[in-house]
Amino acid sequence: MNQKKALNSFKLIVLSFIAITQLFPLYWLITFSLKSNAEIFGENIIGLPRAWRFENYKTALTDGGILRYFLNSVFYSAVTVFTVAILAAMAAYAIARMNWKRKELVFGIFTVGIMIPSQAALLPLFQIMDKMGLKGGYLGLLIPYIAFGIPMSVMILVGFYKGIPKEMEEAAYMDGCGIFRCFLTIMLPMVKPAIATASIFTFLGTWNELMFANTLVDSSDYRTLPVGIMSFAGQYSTDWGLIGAGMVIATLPTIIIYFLLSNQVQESLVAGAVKG
Amino acid sequence: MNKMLGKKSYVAIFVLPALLIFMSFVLIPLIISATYSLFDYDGIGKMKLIGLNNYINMFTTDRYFPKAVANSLILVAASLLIQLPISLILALILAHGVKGEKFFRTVYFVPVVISSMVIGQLWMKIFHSEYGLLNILISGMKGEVFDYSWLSNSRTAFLCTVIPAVWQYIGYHLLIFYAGIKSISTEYYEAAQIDGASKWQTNLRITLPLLVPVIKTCVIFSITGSLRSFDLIYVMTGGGPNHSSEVPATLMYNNLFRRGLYGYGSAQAFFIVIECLLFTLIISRIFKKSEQNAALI
Amino acid sequence: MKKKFISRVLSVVLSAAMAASLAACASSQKSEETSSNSDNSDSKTVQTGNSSTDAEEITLNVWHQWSNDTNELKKLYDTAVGEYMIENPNVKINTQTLDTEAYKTKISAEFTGDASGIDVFYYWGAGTAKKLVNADKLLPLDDYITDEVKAKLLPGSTSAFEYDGKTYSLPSFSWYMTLFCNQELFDQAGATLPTTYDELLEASKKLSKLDGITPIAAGAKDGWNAAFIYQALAMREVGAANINKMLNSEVSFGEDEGYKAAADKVLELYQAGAFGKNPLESGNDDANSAFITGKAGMRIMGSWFANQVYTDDSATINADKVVALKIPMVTGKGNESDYCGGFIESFWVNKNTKYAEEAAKFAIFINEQMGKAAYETGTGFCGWNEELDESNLNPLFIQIKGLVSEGETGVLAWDTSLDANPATIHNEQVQTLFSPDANVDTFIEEHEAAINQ
Repeated sequence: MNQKKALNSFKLIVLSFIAITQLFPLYWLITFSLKSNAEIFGENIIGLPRAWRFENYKTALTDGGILRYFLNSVFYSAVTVFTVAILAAMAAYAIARMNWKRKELVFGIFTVGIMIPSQAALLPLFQIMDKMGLKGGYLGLLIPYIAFGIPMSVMILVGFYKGIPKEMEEAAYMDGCGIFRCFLTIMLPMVKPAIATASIFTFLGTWNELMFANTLVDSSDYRTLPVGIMSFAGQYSTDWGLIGAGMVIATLPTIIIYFLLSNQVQESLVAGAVKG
Repeated sequence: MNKMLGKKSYVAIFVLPALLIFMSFVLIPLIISATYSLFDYDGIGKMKLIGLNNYINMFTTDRYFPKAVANSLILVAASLLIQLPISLILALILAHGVKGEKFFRTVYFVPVVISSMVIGQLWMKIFHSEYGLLNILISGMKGEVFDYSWLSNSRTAFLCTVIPAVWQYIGYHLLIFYAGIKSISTEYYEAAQIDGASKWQTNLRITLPLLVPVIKTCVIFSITGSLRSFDLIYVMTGGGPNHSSEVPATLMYNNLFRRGLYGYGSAQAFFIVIECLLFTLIISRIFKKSEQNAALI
Repeated sequence: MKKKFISRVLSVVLSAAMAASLAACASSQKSEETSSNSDNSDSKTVQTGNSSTDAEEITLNVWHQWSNDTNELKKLYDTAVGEYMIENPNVKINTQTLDTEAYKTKISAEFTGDASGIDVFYYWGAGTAKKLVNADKLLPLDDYITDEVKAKLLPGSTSAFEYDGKTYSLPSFSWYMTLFCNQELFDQAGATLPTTYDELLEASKKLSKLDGITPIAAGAKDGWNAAFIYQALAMREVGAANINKMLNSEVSFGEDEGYKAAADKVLELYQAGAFGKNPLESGNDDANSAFITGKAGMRIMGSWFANQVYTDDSATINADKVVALKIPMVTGKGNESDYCGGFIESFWVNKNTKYAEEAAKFAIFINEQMGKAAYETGTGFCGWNEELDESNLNPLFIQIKGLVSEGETGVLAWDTSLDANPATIHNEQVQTLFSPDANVDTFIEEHEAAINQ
C-alpha cells in the first residue's frame, strides 16, 4: 500500500511540474507587463515586480485607438461565433441526420477546409471581396471569418449529432412537430456543449487572426486588436513592459472566455463528440 | 419522420447557407490560387502560362524548398513522437482519476488559447542571448556568462521553434484523448478487473485499442497542423537565419507578399494542400485495419 | 402532452434568446457605426466651416505609412492636409495609415485589382514603383506639373520618379547615409574617428574592449539594416556610378572585384567583433536604441536618425557629443564625393482615380509640403527650392547638411532600386555575412544569379 501512495505522490509531482511549465509563460507575461525595463533586463527577471507599474496598462489602453480596436475585435468575434454556430449547427444536422444522396461529398468538401493554409487564399479572396464591393467595412472581415470558421465547427458537430439517440427526435416528430421547431427545440439544446466547443475554436481563430485583418480592412475605424498590438509593438519595440501590457490585453479575453466555456467543452468532448 | 428528413427543400435550407458561404469565400479562392500556380505571375502584371514548371522548380532550382519540406516533416515527427505520446500518457493518468483532475485538465489547455503571436514573442524572450531565461539558467549553473544566441544561429534556430510548437498543443490533444477515454464504457473495465489485470495491462489491452479512432483524429489534426505551420515560426525567426528554419508556409508567404512571385507562391500553397490530403488518406488507410480490430473487442 | 408543452416552452424561450442576441449584435453594430461617423464629422466640420462655394464636394482617399502618433512626419502631414482642405473647400482628404510591412502588403494586394479605395498613396520610386508603372497602374503627372513647379525642383531630384520619359511623381525629401559616432565612447576607448576603412576596423577593435559596448550597432535582424553596411562599403569599393550601372542592369554584378572585397570587409568586421556577438538578434529599433542609450559606439544609418538622437525620450547620451561622418573611404579607391542616399519616397496617384486632376494636384502639393516639413524637422533634405525655416534644425542634422553639400553621385538603397525578388535576396544574403556560417563565395553567386537575370 505504501508503494501505491508513493506512486500517487510521484504522479502528482510530475503533473504539477507540467502544470507549472504550461502556466509559467502566462505568469511571466503578466509580471513583466508590470515591470520596468531595468527589472526585465537583468535585475529581476522571474520574480514579482518590485514596483507595480500599472501605468503600463494605462498607456497601452489610452494609446492610439487600442480600446477602439479591442471593441471592434469583440464585435467581429461575437458576430462570427454566433453566425458560425447557427450555420454549422444547421449544416451538420443535415449531414448527420437527413437522408440525401450527396451528403458524404458535402462533408468531404467541408473537410478540405481544415487543410487550407489561409495565406494561400488571401489574394484571390481579396479580389473576390473587392469585385463584390464587400471589402472595407465590417462585412469585409466578417464574411471571411465566418467562411473559414465553418469547416471545423461542422466537423465537431457532425460527430456529436451522430452520437445522439434518435428516440428523442422521433417522439417529437410523432407529436407533429415541424422540422424547424424540432431542430430549434430538441436538437439545438442537446448539442449545446458541442456548440460551445466549436465556438471556442471559432473564437480563437477570429480573435487572434492577423493577416486578413491587415489586408481586408481599409479604415482604422474597422481595425482589429491584433493589428493594433502589432503596430503598438513596433512603436514601443524597446519597452518590453508596455508590449507585455498590450499582449495581456489581447490575451485575457481568450482566457476568460475559455474558463467560462470550459465546463461545457469538457462535457461535450466527454459526451463523445470525437468518436468521429 | 423519414419523409420529413428526406425532403429536398429542407435539406437545402439547412445545408446551403453554410455551404455557399464556405464555397464562395474559401473553396473558390483556393481554386483560383491553384490556377495561378500554373502561371508566371507577379500579382499585378501579365500572366504567362507555364504549365507545371512552378511545381518542378520547387524541387530543382529552389535551394530552400526541399529543406523547408524536410523541416516540416521534422515538425510532423516531433508532434507524432513527442507531443502525442506525452498527451496520451497524461490523458491516461488524468482519466483514471487523480487529485485535481479538473484543475490539471483546464490548466494544460491554457497555452492553446493564447495567440501564436504572443507565444512566439514570449519564447523569443526566453531564448534571448542576454536577457533570456534559458541563458540565465545556464549561466547560473555553469557559474560563468553564457550568451549563445539560440534563434540567430542556423544550427539551433529551427529546433527552438519546434519546442514551443510541440509544447503549445500538448493540452489540445490531451483534451481529445481524455474525452475519448472517458467515453469508453465502464463495462470493459469491470470485466478486466474480474480477470485480475493490472492498471497498465488494462490500459494496453482495453483502453488503447478502443481509443484507436480518437488517436486517428489526433494524428490527422497533428499532421495537417504541422504541415501548415506558419505563425510561430514567422514570428520567432521569419524562416531565418539564412533560411535554416524555413517551412513551406513561410517560403510561400515570402514569395507571395515579399518577392512578388505570385504564381510560384500559389504553387507552394497548393503543394501544402495536396500534402495534407495525401497524408490524411494514408493515415486513414493505415488506421482502417486497427479500427476493425478495435471493433472486435 | 407534457412533452409537447415542454417543447413549446423551450421553443419560445430559445427563440426569444436568439432574438435577444440578434438584437444585441445589431445594436452593437449600430453603436460602432455612429461612433465612426462622429469621427468623420470632426474633419467635416473643419472643412464645411470654411466652405461657401457650391463646387461639388469630392473625397480623396490617401494612404501613407507614418502610422505612429509619435512620428513627427505624421503630425506635419496632418497639418499640411488641414491647410489644403481650407484652401480647397470642395476637397475632403481621407487619410489611412498602416505600419510599413503591413502597408506594403496592403498596397500590393490593392493593385492586383484597380485599388478603387486609393487615390493618392505614399510609395517608393525607382525599382519599387516600376512594377506598378509597367502594369499601367499609375497616373503620369506631366500634364499637371506647371512651369512654376518645375522651376522649384532641384536638378537631378526626379530621376527615381521617371519612367520612359514620363514623370509619375515628384521628389519630396532625400536621405543621406551617415556614420554616427558617439564621441564620448571613442574618447573612453582611446579610438579616433574613422575616415578610412582601416581606421573603422581599428576603432571597432578598441571600442569592443569597453565593457558592455557594441562598436557598431548593426540591427542586422532587419535585412535592410544589414544591407546598409554592405552597401556603404561597396559604394567605396566599386564607386557610386558603377553601382548605379549595375542596378540598372547595364553591367553585371560581380564584374567588379569590389563587390567581393566589400563582402570580405563586412565579414572581417563581424569576425573582429565590431557588431557584437549576436548581431542577427537585434533589429533596427534595438540598434537605434542601443546607440542613443550609449551602448553602441557607431551606427550606420540614414540622416533621419539624427532627429531621433535629439528627440527620443529614452535617449540618455549627450546628443551634442554625436559626430556625423561620411562613410569611411577604402584607401586608393572610389571618390569622396560619392554617397548613399537620394530621393525615393513620395506620393503617387492611382491611374484609376475618379478625380485625376484633384488627386494630381494634391500629390504635387503634399510632396512639396512633406519635403519642406522633413527638412524643417531635421529628418530629410527638401527636393524643392524653398524658403526654409532652419531655426529648429538640430546641430547633428546641420553637420549632415554639410556632408550632403559635398556629395555628387548618389546610390539609392539597393532594395528600392532592384525588383522585389533580387531585392529580397540581396538583403537576405547580406544578413548571412553577420553569422558564423558566412560564405562570401555563396554570397557572390546568389547575387549574380538574382541580379544578372
